[in-house]
Amino acid sequence: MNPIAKLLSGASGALGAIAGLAVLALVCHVTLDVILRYVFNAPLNGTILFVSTFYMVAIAFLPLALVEQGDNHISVELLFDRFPGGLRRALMILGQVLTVIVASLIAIRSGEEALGKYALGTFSLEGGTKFITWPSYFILPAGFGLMALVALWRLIAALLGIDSGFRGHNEIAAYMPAEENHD
Amino acid sequence: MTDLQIAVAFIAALFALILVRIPIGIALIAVSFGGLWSMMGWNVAWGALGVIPHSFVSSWVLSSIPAFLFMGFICYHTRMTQGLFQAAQVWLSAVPGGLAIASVFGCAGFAAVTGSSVACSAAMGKIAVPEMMRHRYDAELATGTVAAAGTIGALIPPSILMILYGIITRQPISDLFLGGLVIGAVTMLGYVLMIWLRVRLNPNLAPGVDEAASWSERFTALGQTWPVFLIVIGVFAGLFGGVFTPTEAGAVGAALSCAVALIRRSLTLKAVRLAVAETINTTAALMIIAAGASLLARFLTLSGTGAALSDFILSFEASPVTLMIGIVLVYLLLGMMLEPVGAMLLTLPIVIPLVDHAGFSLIWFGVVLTKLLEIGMITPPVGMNVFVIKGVVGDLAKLSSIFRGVMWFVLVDLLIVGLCIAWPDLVLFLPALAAG
Amino acid sequence: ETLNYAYGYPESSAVGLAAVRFADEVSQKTGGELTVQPFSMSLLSLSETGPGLRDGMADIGYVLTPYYSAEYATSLFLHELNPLVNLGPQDGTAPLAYTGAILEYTLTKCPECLSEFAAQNQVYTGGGVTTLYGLQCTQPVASIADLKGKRVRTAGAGFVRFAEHFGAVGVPLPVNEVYEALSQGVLDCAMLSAPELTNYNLTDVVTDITPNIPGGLFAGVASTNVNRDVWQRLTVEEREAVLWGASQMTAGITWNFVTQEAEAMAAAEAKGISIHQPDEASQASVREFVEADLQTAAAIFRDTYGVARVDEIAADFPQMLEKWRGLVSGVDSHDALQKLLWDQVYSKIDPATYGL
Ligand code: NA
Ligand code: NA
Repeated sequence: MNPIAKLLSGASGALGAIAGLAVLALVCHVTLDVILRYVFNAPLNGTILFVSTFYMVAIAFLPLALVEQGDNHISVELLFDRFPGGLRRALMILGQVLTVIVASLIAIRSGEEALGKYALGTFSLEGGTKFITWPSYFILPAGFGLMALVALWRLIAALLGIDSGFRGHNEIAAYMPAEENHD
Repeated sequence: MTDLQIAVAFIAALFALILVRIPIGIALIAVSFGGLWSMMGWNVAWGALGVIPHSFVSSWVLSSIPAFLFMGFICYHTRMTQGLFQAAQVWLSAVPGGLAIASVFGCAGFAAVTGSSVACSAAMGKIAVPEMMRHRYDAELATGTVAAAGTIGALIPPSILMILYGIITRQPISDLFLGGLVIGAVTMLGYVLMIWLRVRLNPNLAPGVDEAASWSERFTALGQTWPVFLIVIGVFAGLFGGVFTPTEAGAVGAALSCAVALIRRSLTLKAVRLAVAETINTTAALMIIAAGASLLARFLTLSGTGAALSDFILSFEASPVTLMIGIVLVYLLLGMMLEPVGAMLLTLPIVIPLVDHAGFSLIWFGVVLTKLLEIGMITPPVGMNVFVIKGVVGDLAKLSSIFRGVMWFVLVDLLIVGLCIAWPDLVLFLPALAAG
Repeated sequence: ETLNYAYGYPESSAVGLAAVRFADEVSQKTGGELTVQPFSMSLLSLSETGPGLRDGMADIGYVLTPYYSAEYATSLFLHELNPLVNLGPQDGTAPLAYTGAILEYTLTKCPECLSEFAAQNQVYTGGGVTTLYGLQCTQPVASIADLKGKRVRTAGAGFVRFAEHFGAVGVPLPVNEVYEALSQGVLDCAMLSAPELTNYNLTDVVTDITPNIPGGLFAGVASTNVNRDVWQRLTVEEREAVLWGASQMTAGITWNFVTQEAEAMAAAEAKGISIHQPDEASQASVREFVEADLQTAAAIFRDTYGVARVDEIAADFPQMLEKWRGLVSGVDSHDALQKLLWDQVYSKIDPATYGL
């Protein structure tokens, strides 16, 4: 694997791992809250806040670079498959350019927003306990920023006609075909 | 250019981008951003980009989607779903398309637990589709069935869409639920009948099982289904016993699945890793589209699309029935691009007075509207249920073949909508009965 | 020119009805030169309105201060003083008095409130409050002792403290999940103002209502905040028209809630829902709690939110409320309330200089 792909894969893997932990945390946190509320009449403080502000945002946005790396964004292939090779390449490059632009714009804009929330020190008071909420806003620039870098590298590789180095090294892509998991 | 012309131009651009394989989420965001920029100026577009994605995703109610996805992936990777489908197979071996029909029933059962159709497709997709594919079912039939059957999730109560409709229009939610129960059941039967007919006419779609199973084989197979039944019964009991809310049901169901797998000693670290990886991959791919669709709804709202739609509908107002046909057309069109909540918020302020004025029952309309919005969940180019199934099956089926497979179900849906318009009592008899 | 007004409530709600009136009044006042286009929930949701208004997605917005506690800390403190209404007369005039008091205090005595809004690129022009909170239950809560062990939906730190104090279990849930949670038994009660009974069709599932427990009301409302760039662009006459519209909106929200409360209670009675008026002992316990809790709230706003003038505001605001208790006696219509707000507060705001 080339060093750039290695670096980007490592970073997306790390963000993906955090998102994965957020899935487990969501399941455990909500279940624990339900049990404590029903059995002991003592619900946890701030469950909804944690789930919506932290787990959901992390699960939705941190894996974006992984999805980009595995080319797993949802798209319609219907016409594409019937296009001649040259057109397909041109459209693929257009798609990558748009992805880089959109992901960068959101990363920059949400980064601004996050710095604003950090400066204010936003928090939420849940039953007398203060939970800081500003870190949640930094999840977007991280997720979209890395997605933009991965998309940029795929774009450069496509323009230069070289292997991006991602295919075959992407853990998620390897998981996806359900057939392989029947072992 | 007027704002409306800008909107039409950008919607055309959206279709073009999606058709040439630009990722749908990217296309939605790019078009909404460009539209807001050209219509309202840079500051508004730039502002929307900072506000909407975070606010849309940081939602408690949406959290049931990754939870139900995780539950489905866990059930699949710990092989608890195999027993269920072996049983369905031996019991339904004589029925053409038995597994597909079992999937519809499975979805209807799940629908009683979850309030959203995406959650329903997510939970059933990983359980049913690979099993059907393994039995050499036609890929379009297998994937289309689960994508479409998921829509029953928002018809059979509880239903997030109906709750929202009831709040906005001040209609009793319990009456909406009763009407939805009937239409959900009718939809289920319609799907089953259509599958049965198609497979009767073309047995290649779903190869039958040759030898009939003996009764002892059947009951042995039934014995293998306990894990999934335990989970489903646990979730149902908890919901109706007041232990947890529908939003919490996903997480509790996932935890219960892990617990049952642990008891069966099939909860391996590998299974959990696979389930987690697929959950985050699918959720992220879905949420960027949903956030993009939410941005698009704001752009359409600001462009005055609502007023234009109102004019369009009014041009049909020769009689109540033609008015309703105009409304159906509008929602089929909107449903192609918007997610249901956005489409509802955009249009209800305009549509409700028209419907009310034409003398239709608002309970009836709420149920029909839910049905129409749910059709939008499976129509191209933006069909969230189809995307969920695509995320769940990976390279097993192309997006376009899932959309093709779904078209048969859309036909059934349109028939049901026609039936509701022709015979409103189909929706209203149960609420009337309950009112005494 | 047309200004987009985003308010995250249904059109048929107390807020939605007032919003239509707001738009009409602004248009009339300017002879159609300036019009307002209200958007119910489609443009911005309640949680998006603050930042959306700041960035110009809407020109005017219905901002709830509790959604952004760090941004609007001082305004939020004026809302958190709402249990004060439990210490006054229980004759139904409390929402009217609180409306006037929080409006006048914000506009004339709370420069930090106005700078908090300005920091979010907004100009405050009006408020409005709900009616008193009650308990909407699936079991009878005849006296406050019955609250013990009940699972109660709470929103806001003050209500959580109230629930805990009386031995109830505070369950935070979004309001649109209350219906199912009550019907399935996840909740025993919800703390809501009576109009929500009909707004959320809770009359289907609620069997028992205890009015005025916990009491208090929702006042964390900046109902017609204007984007500051837009405000500065408007002419003096247009700004005056917006202020006039805001006086109608502020009066409209409160008055609509008061009318809808009567309707909702009538609907509840017609449905056979039992209504348990709290006895004197329960009311005394509530008052006792409120006296102590106002100290707790003040400490939280001083220490956690960093509001500097907490003690001064906590001393001043009750006097303002007392003054308005006197002013609102005899107010019996939307128009009377609007006129009072205009004469006492808005007429003293100079549209040539305010908010610039
Ligand atoms: Na359902
Ligand atoms: Na669609």
